[in-house]
This record gives sequence, structure tokens and C-alpha cells, in this order.
Amino acid sequence: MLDERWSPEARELAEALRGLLNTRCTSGVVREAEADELGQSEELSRHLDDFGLWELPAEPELLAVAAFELGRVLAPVPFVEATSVRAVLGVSGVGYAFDGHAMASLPRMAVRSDAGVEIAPTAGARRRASTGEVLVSVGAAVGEQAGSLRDADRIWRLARLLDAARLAGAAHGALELGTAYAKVRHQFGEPIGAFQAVAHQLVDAKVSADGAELVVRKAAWQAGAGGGDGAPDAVLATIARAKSVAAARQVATVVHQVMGGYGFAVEEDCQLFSRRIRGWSMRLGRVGPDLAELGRTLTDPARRASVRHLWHNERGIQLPRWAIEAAEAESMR
Amino acid sequence: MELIPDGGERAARDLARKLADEVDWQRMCELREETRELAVEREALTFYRALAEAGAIGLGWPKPWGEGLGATEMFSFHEELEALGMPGYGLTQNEGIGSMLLRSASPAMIEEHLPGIRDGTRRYVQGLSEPDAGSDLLAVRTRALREGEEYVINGEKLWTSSAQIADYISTLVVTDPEAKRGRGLTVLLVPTSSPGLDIKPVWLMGGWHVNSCHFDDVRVPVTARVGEENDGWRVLARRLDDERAMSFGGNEARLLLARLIDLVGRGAVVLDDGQLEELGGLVVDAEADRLHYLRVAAMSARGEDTSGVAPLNKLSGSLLAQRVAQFVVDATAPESCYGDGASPLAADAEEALRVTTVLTIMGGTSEVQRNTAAVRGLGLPRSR
Repeated sequence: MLDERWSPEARELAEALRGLLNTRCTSGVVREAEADELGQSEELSRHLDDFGLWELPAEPELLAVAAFELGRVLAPVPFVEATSVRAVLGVSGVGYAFDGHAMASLPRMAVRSDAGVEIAPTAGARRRASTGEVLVSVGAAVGEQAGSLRDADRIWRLARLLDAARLAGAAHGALELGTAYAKVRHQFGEPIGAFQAVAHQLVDAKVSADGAELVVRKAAWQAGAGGGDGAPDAVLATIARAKSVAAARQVATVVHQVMGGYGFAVEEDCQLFSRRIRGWSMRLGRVGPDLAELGRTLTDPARRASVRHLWHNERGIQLPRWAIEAAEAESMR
Repeated sequence: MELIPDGGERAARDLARKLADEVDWQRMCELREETRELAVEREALTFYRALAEAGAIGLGWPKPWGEGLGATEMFSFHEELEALGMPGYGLTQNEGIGSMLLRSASPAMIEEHLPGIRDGTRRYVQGLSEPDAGSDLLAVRTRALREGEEYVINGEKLWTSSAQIADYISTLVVTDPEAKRGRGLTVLLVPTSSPGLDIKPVWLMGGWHVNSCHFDDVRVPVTARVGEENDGWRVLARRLDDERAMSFGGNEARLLLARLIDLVGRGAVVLDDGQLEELGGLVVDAEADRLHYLRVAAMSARGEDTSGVAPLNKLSGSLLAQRVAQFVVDATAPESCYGDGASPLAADAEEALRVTTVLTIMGGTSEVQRNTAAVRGLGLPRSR
């Protein structure tokens, strides 16, 4: 039966991880990480190590749901950055660095090469990102050949899924914060959530945040149970990231508006969410070129035919008989 | 997670495909002509008869009335039918009212009405809104006075869709004007042939007309009552939940996008880089919208409460449909300046731009959906 929920194993993992994070990844931990030399929480990393996070089986639903839960509490650990390379090449401690920067906290990084993927020591100028993390700008790294072009492609697609999952999680975390505030903050003698001008923005944000979570789930499903190679196809990888970026940005804007001056204050947690949402949204580059490529893929009949699981289609995009006949007549004109 | 239809879902979907496969372009033009002549929204009686002959009406009702299909099977059937552009509005309306009867009506009433819906010989519509009761549906004023074994109805219903081809109007009336808001309402099935019922067209820019229905001492027997007297709001509440579980434009939006994508592939329409990026963005939102729609069905099938998420589905689909219509109108300009059908896609896009205008209004405005979602989905206090 059609079922939009994470698999039972993924739900079990999510529940256990959420339980751990609720006590071990408070906003205080996130704030401390911002003062850390590498922008990370070593202590949280150790707790997650005990939990088994760094050895999760490379099943896409497990990886994606973990990224979602970590994103929901802004966990300052390099799970998303390290996991796409580990899942495809089986090596740990290697950060994804296809887009010009790597996590300083990971000893090695994976870069693209003409032959596929190379792994090199993480080296270069360190810069603290607006998210509080410390990144390394990747120049012309020279490393050892570690994977084929096909591996590079898989890493690229899985990185997009995990990035999307983290953003969708952060969107939900921020929305929970803003919704909770709207219930307790009183003005004009009422909780502000009773004003439509406030409530309706939060609902619109929820439409987007839920949409993002749903496309992330579908992309994760396709990567595994849906006959994928451990990563979603490029089309669903793009869809998941594009939707998550847009949704997370919308949520951040709305929650700031709802929380007013308090949300703008550093001592409140709202800024922790919005700064990360805005920073993470740019980490893999602007979404626009991916969307244009999606448009080109679909409008090319040969490429469109091999697209899997778009909308209600199993393969390609099916048109009704009448519409094909109408199009044939129209294109003859 | 399972996102590929199983055996039952596939069978339901394939039934829709089979029905749609019988419709070639010429037949579709005939169906559209019929829709225009009837002046209804997305409905053609010859297609409705084809649905009935295929046993495709009321599949979700329990046996012996229907086939007992589950919510995800019904989702697969309706989604496919709409995504293939079939005129299915009457089907969802009639099935919805049939489901309401199965939940709330007496066995005798079910016995009287369900077979006629199932075999396509009787058609039912909803009479809810009034001139001064739109979003505030509880403000309805149409009165039904009990006189012995009859109700005598006086008042006016407005925006009544398809009443011109209906046999019955499921009418929300006030039976206890002294009761608290929502407590004194009752649902009556009123035959459109009733003396004193005057049905007048109200033409809409979508190209069809709805109706204003004037009730002037219209008499129906008490057996025309659905459920208990003064229990109409409860009878209706699930019906309104069902409406939000429908696709409200998303299926049609995907078809319009798919047709544009196909024409670009044929070289008949050219998109620049900016439009390709915009197309990609709409494809993304269409995917998310479709999953909102699927989620409501899957939750229903599991017996979960959908009142917090079904409004999100309606909000998402109606807005997407408007954006897609505007995009395809732009992409097919200047042909889309004309609705004369010289370019079928451009003409359909032009029509969609008019039709989708009402999707954020009918079936509960976006504002009402947001109010419901705020309370049921986000747990916020009730707002005004």
C-alpha cells in the first residue's frame, strides 16, 4: 500500500537519535560550537560515535533520516559532509569538497578529477562561515585517485539528498520554535498565534516544510527501495534540494517575522536556525542552474524517457492519448 | 515507505487508464463541446455513462454498494483520471454525497439513493453556500419548518454547482434558529423537480455557470433528512474533510506542464534559459504537491486523522495550479491571447488561467484552510 512514511527501521533510528539529541544537542551546545576552533562539538561527536552514527549502514533512508534529525537541532557535527563519500567509497573522515570548500574538522577531503574522485588532505585557507562552522577553501588539490566518474556522480547525488534532508530538518526545527512562540507570546491580550496575520504565515511555511520533508523522503526511498544505486537519480536529488532550500529559507523568514525583535536578538535561538539555514542553502551552490538542467532534462525526449518516479509516473512522463494526438497536430502546423 | 502502487492500487489506476485510452483527440473535443453545452465544470454526461458502464462509480463504497476499495486505491483511480484530463468533477461530487449518505443516512435512504448513483442514472450536488453565508457557512439562513411529516423550505442557496443537471440537491438548512451556532442545522436531500424550487444560472468566467436556487415553500418528506434533525453540521463535517483530500488543481497542473514539456521536445515551443529554470521550479513544486495529496490518502487508509494536513493539500494544489497556468500562458504567448483552439495547449492554458482563479476560493477559501490548519495542524489557538 502507498505509504509516505519513513521505513520502520528509519523511524526507529529517528526516534532514538532524537532522544539523544534532545539532551545532548541543546542550543547551548550549538552556541559553544560557534566558539570552537573548528566550529564543531567534539563532545557531541563522541556521543554520536557511541550511538553508532558514524557507522550507520549505507542505506539511504537511514542516512537521510539521520541528516534530517541532526538538521532539526542544528547539530554541529560533520555528518552530512562526511557521509556521501563514506557511503560510496567506504572511507571515513573524508569531507565532500566538490563545490570549492571542505569542512576543516575532517582530516581529508574528496574532490572531483577528470577520472572521477580524488582524496587529498584537507588543506587550504581556513575561514569561519556565517553558519559558525570552519571551512577550508579548496584550491587545486592534488590527491590520490579514489573513485571512478560513476562514483563521483553517486557522491554528487547523495550529497544533494543529505544536504536537502538537513535543511528540511532545520526548517522543521525552526518552524517548531516559531509555532511554540506564537502560542505563548501575548499581545493585545491574546496569544499572537490567534491572529491570522501570524497564523497564516506559519501555515504557509508548514506547507513548504512538509513538502520538503516529503520530497526528501521520496528521494531517499528511490535511492534504496526504489531501485536506486544508493543515491537518488539526479532529477529527484535536484528536486529534494531545490524544495528544501526554498522551504527552509521561507521558514526562516516567517519565523523571524513571527518572533519579532526577540527573534533578532542573539540570545534567542531563532538566529541560530536562520543563519545556518541561509548558510547551508548556499553550500552546494545556487539552486538555479540545477533547476535549469532539470528543465533541459525533461524537455529532451530521449533524456526524459529514462527519468524515474517523477510525480505519478514510473518512467518518463506519460501523456493521455488525446493530448498526444493534439500535440502531433499542433507541432505539424 | 512505498511509493509504487501495489496490486490493488495498480488495478484501480489501470481502470482509469483504460477509460482514458478510449478518448482520442476528436472524442475529447466532443466531450468538451458537451461540457460547454451543459455549462458545467469538467463534466460530460456521455463520459459519466462510460464510467458507470465500467462500474467505476462508487468503487470506494463498501459492498454491496461499491467494491470496497481503500483510500489509496481510490487515490490511484482519481489521480490517474484527472491527470489524464478526463472530465471527472461529477464523479467526485456524486461519490462524495454517496459517502455522506453511507455514513449518516438511514438504511432505507441508502437503499433508495446509492444504486442510482452507482449506475449513473442519478446525480447529486451540494447546496451549502448562500448569498450571506460563504466562508462563514454556519451563518446559513435557509429555513426548513417541520409541518407534520414534511419540511417546508424557504431561502436561497448560491454558487450551487451543476444543479442544472442534478436530480437532488443536498441542502444545508436551519431547523432550529434558536440553537447555538452550528447546532440547529440539518441536511435534506431535495429533488430538483420540487414545486417551488427555482434554479437560475450564475455565469462564471471559467466558462460554465453555477446556480442560485430559490426555495419558496418547497416541501420534502421527513424521510429526505440525512441523519438526525439538528445534526447537519456533523453530517457535513466529514464531507468537507473529504473535499480537502481531493486534488484541487495539482493533477491538472501536472498535465498542463507535461503537455508543455512535450511540445518543447517537439520543437513547437521554445523556452529560454530563464524559462527552463522556472519550469524546473514548477516541476519541483508539482512533486511536493503530489506528495501532499498522496499523504492525505495514505493517512486516510491507515485510519489517521487528516484534518491537520488535508488543508495543506488544498492550499498547495490550488496555488500551484494558478502558477502553472500563468507559466504555460506565458510560454505559449502570443497564441494564448486567443481561446479559439488554434493551438490546443495555448487555448487550454488560457482557459486554465481563468478556471484556476477560483480554486483558491471554492471548496473552502485558502483563508479558511489556513485557519483550520493553524488549529488542527499547528495547534495554534483558534483565530478570527
